[in-house]
Amino acid sequence: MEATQASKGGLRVAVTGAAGDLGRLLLPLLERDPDVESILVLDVAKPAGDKVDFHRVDLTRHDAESEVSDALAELPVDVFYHLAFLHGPVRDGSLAHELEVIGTMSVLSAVGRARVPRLIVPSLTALYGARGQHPALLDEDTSLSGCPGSRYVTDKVEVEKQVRSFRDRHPETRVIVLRFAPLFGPHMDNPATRMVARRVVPTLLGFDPLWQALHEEDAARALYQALSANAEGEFNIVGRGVLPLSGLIRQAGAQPLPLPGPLYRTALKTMTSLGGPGFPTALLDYMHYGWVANGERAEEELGFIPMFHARDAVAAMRRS
Amino acid sequence: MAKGVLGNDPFQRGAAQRPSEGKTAGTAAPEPKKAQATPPPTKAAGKSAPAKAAKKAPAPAPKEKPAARAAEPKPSAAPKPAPKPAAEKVAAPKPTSGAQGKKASAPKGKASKTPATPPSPEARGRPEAFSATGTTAGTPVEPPVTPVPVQAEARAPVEEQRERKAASGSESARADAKPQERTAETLSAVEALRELEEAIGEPLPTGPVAMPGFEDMVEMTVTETVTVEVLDASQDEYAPDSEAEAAEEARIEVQVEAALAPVQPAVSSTADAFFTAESPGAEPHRMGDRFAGLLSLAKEAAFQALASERFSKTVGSAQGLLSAALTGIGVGGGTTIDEYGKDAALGGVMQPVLDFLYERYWRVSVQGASHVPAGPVLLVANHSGALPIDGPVLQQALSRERPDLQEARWLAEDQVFHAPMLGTLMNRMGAVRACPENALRLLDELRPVIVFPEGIQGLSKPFAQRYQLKRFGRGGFVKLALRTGAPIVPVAIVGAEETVPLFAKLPAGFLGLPYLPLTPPPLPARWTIRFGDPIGMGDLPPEAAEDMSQVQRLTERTRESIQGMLQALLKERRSVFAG
Repeated sequence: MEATQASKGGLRVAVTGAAGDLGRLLLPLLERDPDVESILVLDVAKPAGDKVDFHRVDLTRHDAESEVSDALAELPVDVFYHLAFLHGPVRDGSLAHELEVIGTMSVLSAVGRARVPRLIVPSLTALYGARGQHPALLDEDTSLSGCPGSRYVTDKVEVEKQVRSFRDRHPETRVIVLRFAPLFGPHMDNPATRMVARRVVPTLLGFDPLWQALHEEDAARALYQALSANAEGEFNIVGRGVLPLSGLIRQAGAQPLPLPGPLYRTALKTMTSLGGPGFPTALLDYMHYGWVANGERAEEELGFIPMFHARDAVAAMRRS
Repeated sequence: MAKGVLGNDPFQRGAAQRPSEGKTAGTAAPEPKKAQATPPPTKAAGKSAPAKAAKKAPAPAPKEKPAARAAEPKPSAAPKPAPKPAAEKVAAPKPTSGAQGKKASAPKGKASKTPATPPSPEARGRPEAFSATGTTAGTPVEPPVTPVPVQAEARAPVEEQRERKAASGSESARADAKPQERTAETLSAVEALRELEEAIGEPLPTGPVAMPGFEDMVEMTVTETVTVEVLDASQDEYAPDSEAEAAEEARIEVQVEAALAPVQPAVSSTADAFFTAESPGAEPHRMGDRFAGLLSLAKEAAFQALASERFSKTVGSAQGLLSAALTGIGVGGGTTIDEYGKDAALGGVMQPVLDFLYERYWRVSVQGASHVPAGPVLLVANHSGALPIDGPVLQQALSRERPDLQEARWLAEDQVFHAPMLGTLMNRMGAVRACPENALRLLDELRPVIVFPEGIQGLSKPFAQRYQLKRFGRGGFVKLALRTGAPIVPVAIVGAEETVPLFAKLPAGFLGLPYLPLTPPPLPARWTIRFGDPIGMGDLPPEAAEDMSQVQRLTERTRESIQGMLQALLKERRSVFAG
């Protein structure tokens, strides 16, 4: 903390994916922070803001790495936020893969070359996967077993692997990975919010796993605190408390509808293959077993204390 | 006891006299008939008697009236009631017995015999007796008297003759003596009544108190009917007819004895025997009558209170079961859930159900709960029954017996924890998946942790192998104890095996379960939970957790401790379900 503030002749921050959910949450905070001198935005769309220095970079292009490197060489930065991840419905799986896996590869090599002091990457607690063998609370060192059936999760697991190897190769860069619990809030659009947006949510009969929920404001604060925190490594960023899936659905203003597992699975697969409405089959795993992450480490080392209880976070969805 | 004492004095005399008189007056032959006949009339009398008791003043009148009515159709019966009061002053008791017999025996033939004996002397005495009773009791007895005397008088001559035949000089002498004794007895009876009042805590109205005594005097002395009524009144309350009959038979025997034996000694002995049998019933009846109004009021109030409580309890239990079912199928939707999955709100709603099961249904008794030390501790118990209900019950027991401890959690094996519905419900009630990480975390929170090292093996063993411990896993709990220094408390649970006996295992692979237990709904077996002495890890270092021989030694020690306690509990158990 002291060290970073001492060197604060003005923090220069670079952000990818500034137009995404997380980017939109973070930018206003950075704008307001007097310590932040400039914000280098590397994205395809220019966000509003006085401190914003926009460089158009398309991470899905093969020359993304050189573009990022050029931008960083031109404007050296102290902190690099790599937020270019998809949370919305993935229409084109290969594009998502290009953006997340290949894009991250480009970004990491550019960051390594530019010797950026601090790299912040968001992730998800869903990467731990929902497994029967898991303990009640998942710590950060739990292996990321992910969800085999979900490209959304598998890509992000791949990203985390890259980031970890980057950390090993570049000890001079302080890497902070924030694993967010399902994000809820008026501006969020992710599989979890889309799940509870419907009036009736089919669930698995006889199962009611524990979920966590993180309010978007808490998520923004966590991202912002990572800017100056004297910490390193992975952190679970979770809201206060836990909710059973049924409670979460109720809080969001929907009704759970328990269906027998085999029937449900078959119906969902059929509908998905026919291109009909429905949500990712992968969600069924998360409806079966609990996946509660332990947020103590973020509290101790990052100083992040969630303000919103899970039920408030989900209830915020309903109000929006 | 007080009742018995109270009843004994006045009734004894009457009873004693009756038999002797009856025999003297009527021959031995008629007696049995009387005895048999008596029960029905006694009942009728009993009804009338309560009425008297309730209404102090009017009491005597109603009695006589019904009797009179009954008597009218049957001439024989009619005279008796009237004569009895009259007879009081005279030697009455003996004749009364005869009269009763007659009354009771509807057949006229009997009646003709019997009536003759008692009433004859009474005919004269009646008016006087009534006046006496009236004065003493302060009740208007006269109206009933008037109708009776006529009939009574009409038969009086016959009766007189027979009486005289039957009655001996000794009787008359006795008759004189008896009234005095009776007065004394009544006095004592009154005192006894007061004592009883005090004992009961409710004041008997003084009037009635005086009355019963006097009534007794009058009735006892004169008529057996009265005494019989009082005695038989016990039937009103609860005494089955058979008992009454038995009592009657007893009385007959007594009478026979009295007839055969010299009068006085026979009296006392017979009286004792008679009263031991009947008096206890008689007293409560009278009291009940007295308090009929008050009691019924109080009863109603109490019952209503009880009913409302019951009702609310029932409703609470129903709610609890409903929410449990909803939670089980996965639509519980609780919002007050801790990180392990326990739903505090569900616990509150389920409490009535748990209370009922714990206190009433399974009558759990806990021994040695003080052995559980405060702070982190591993409670190692035997796992039994087809359904894993021993975990929640043990948790309940601990929270009831040791409220000073932190809330305990039990570790559930995967097969239970991930079972559809059951696992979900168990989780909401406080089960935690059994794995070292969870156990360590729970111990870090200074909680008692309930462990079933047998795991699913304990649940899936057939009923024939009940209370035989299976392999204790791989000693995970010992490793935990060594690493954390938490003591191990062995716990023996008896009752779970009989509550949910495992009859068969149905294949249930399609449900993702190893098997589906075939078991009746939980039976009301009696549970006993015994906590043993803690097994400390002593000075063993945490590294000993890696020493498999050390771990196995401690595991075996714990296992033997539990098996020993189980054997002891099973030996001590007298009944599986009763008690």
